Amino acid sequence: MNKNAISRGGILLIASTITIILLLVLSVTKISDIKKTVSEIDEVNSTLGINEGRLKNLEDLNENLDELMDDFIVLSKKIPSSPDKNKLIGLLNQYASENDVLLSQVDFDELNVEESMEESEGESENDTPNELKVKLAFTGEYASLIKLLKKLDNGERLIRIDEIEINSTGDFSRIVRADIAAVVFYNK
Amino acid sequence: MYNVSLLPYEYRILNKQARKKDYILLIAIAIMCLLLLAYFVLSIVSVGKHSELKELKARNSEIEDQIATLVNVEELDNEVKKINDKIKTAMGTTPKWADIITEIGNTVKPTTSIISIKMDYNDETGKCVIEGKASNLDVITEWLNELETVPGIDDITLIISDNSFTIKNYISFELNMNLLPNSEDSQEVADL
Repeated sequence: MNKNAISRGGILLIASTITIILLLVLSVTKISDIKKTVSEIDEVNSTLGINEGRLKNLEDLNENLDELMDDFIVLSKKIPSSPDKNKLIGLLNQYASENDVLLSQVDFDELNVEESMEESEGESENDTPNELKVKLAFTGEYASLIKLLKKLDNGERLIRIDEIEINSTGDFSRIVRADIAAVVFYNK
Repeated sequence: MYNVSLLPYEYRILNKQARKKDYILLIAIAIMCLLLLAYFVLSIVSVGKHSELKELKARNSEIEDQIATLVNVEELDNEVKKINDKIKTAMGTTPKWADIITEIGNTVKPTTSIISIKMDYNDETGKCVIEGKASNLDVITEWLNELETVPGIDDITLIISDNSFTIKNYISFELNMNLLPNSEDSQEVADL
């Protein structure tokens, strides 16, 4: 009878030990699962934060879609897909006449165009735009020339002026001549 | 007063061992209960966390769907930014010529005349040379002092190129100065 009791006690002890081990394993697994879930929550929270910011930004942009579209059109014209020299000359003439100035010279650096064309072959559209050097000369009154320079700075086409020389045309003349070395840009 | 047991020694040993086993069993059951409780609590926490995660994922998915409907706007915005960056790169830190020339022109004294202005800017360095005539040195000095306040230029040096007084008593001079890079966010889209 005692032996039976001892063996029953032993079995119970073994069963409890196994249960304890099982519960320990289950608890550790649960803890690890919770840790994983918490880490996932952090990750999703972070993504959510980014996405919420992105959505807010997009909603704001969507509210001003017309303005954004206008910006895109204006900016696209600043760096066209080809040198478009004729249109550029027309534009410079327009600026000159709008500001009572005479456009007396437009010289394109042809060599520069060819080099740029060759360089651009194989380059992606994302690279820096190609440069087309141009020499310009305007004659007119000083104030008119200043207005013209402002127009060139903020005009339809992107023009970077590298050199500018303003000379008076005579001792008592109000007319001055501006020689400009500039660069215009195009994409392809 | 003495603890005397009349039971046989073997029986006592067996009894002692059985009691020890009972204690161990009791402790094991207590540990088991604790672990069960811990597991129960952990399970509740786990369910809570899973539910929180599910909720967040659903919310994120909803926002992503909303973003997907506005993807065209985002592409347009990226395109605008890309072109704007290209413009900034192309223009670099080139000065605002009209502003500088206007500022310089505004400081010219009535008895001073400018014959020529030459300006060039390349690779973040630029120079400006102004040739002119003035009635006297005081006028040039006064002008120089005013030029010091003009933004976008510095390091102004004066060269009197011809101080032999002409019939009109004019002095020929040359002003050299450095052009500073345009510190503004160059060629802002705001100019559009």
